[in-house]
Amino acid sequence: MRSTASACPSAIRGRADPGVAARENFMASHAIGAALGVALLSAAAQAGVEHTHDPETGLEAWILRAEGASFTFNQRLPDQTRAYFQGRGFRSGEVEAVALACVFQVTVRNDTDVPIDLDLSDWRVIPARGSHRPLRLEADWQQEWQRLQVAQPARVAFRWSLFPTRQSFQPGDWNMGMVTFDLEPGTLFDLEIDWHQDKTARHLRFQGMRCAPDRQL
Amino acid sequence: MRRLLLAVTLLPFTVLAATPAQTLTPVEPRPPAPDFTLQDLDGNRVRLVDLRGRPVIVNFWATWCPPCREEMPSMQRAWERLRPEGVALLAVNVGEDVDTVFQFTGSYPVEFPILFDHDGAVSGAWPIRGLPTTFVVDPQGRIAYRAIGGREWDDPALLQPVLELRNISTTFDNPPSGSER
Repeated sequence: MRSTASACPSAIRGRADPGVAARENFMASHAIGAALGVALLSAAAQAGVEHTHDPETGLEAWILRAEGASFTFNQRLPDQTRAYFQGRGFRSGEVEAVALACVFQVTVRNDTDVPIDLDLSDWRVIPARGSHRPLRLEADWQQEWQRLQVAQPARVAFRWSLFPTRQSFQPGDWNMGMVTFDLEPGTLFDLEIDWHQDKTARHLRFQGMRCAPDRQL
Repeated sequence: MRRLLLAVTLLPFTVLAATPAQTLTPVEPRPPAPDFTLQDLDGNRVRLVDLRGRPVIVNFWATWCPPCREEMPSMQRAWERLRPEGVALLAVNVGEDVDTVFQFTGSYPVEFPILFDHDGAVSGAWPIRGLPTTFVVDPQGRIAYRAIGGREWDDPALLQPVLELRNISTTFDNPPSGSER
């Protein structure tokens, strides 16, 4: 059911029919969709994704605001990540792998009046030349840190610095943390995210995202 | 002119309507709060169960967490308001050393107890996914509310449900009733 193409720069949708005709029949479709655990979104939510570029730092961000839920993806330079984790007990060699793994700072806010549930293991990156692949998650990294015998304080800091793999956001909750897309610096890619808003499964494809290049600020 | 006047009159309401109200999420049924004994900045041992009989706000945080830093000043203001009302507040630092936190308190002076969960064992025993996460423990030692992410803690809308928990302390020896069971 995962959609990989859209006419808009970015498209947000439930898992049911996303077509225009269906949107016009939104109310009727919603009743049916809700019964199936899926739904269409209102036209307001289809406004898409905001893309920003900081002229001072050159860093880019992608922001989705949809009916009170918001997802913000901020590029992090590899040097930022190196400095951050070295300051928390990682040795320089250990931190290189994560610094070069296309790290973004993600902020999720739930200002709706229903719970939002995320599971990053459902998310996929699609490199410009490549197929769908999962994110590199916190548990994957912890295996690596165990193998490398990374110091425990560093591993504790790493655990809490990454965005939780699974999290439920009640109304008013928000969180921020790093995600690693496991792509090389400068790589162009699309990102498909899934979440549940109450019982409704939602899906969005961010198109034309880019890993920060490996350069200094 | 009349339109301008109307716009100015309505502006505060528009801003209020656009700002989402801050909330604490009730936790039902209330599970027992995992007990802990942790050291504070001065090396004193603080045990959660010793605070039984009054509401306790337990905040999990770290100096490197931006929203944790952001909420510290409002948490201090909340503490000044709550302390005389018999509410306790504990800020459990996750995974950092005393020197780092001591340095941090130079920029963010706070008077409530900061405790140290050096190895993350206590944080691991609580239902936490990310930092900051704050819990409100009722006088019977059960988790009554949870907030994920930073808040402006001196907001009366957040403090009122905490203060209201004091009322059930009078039924401390009685069995829980209704939805609390």
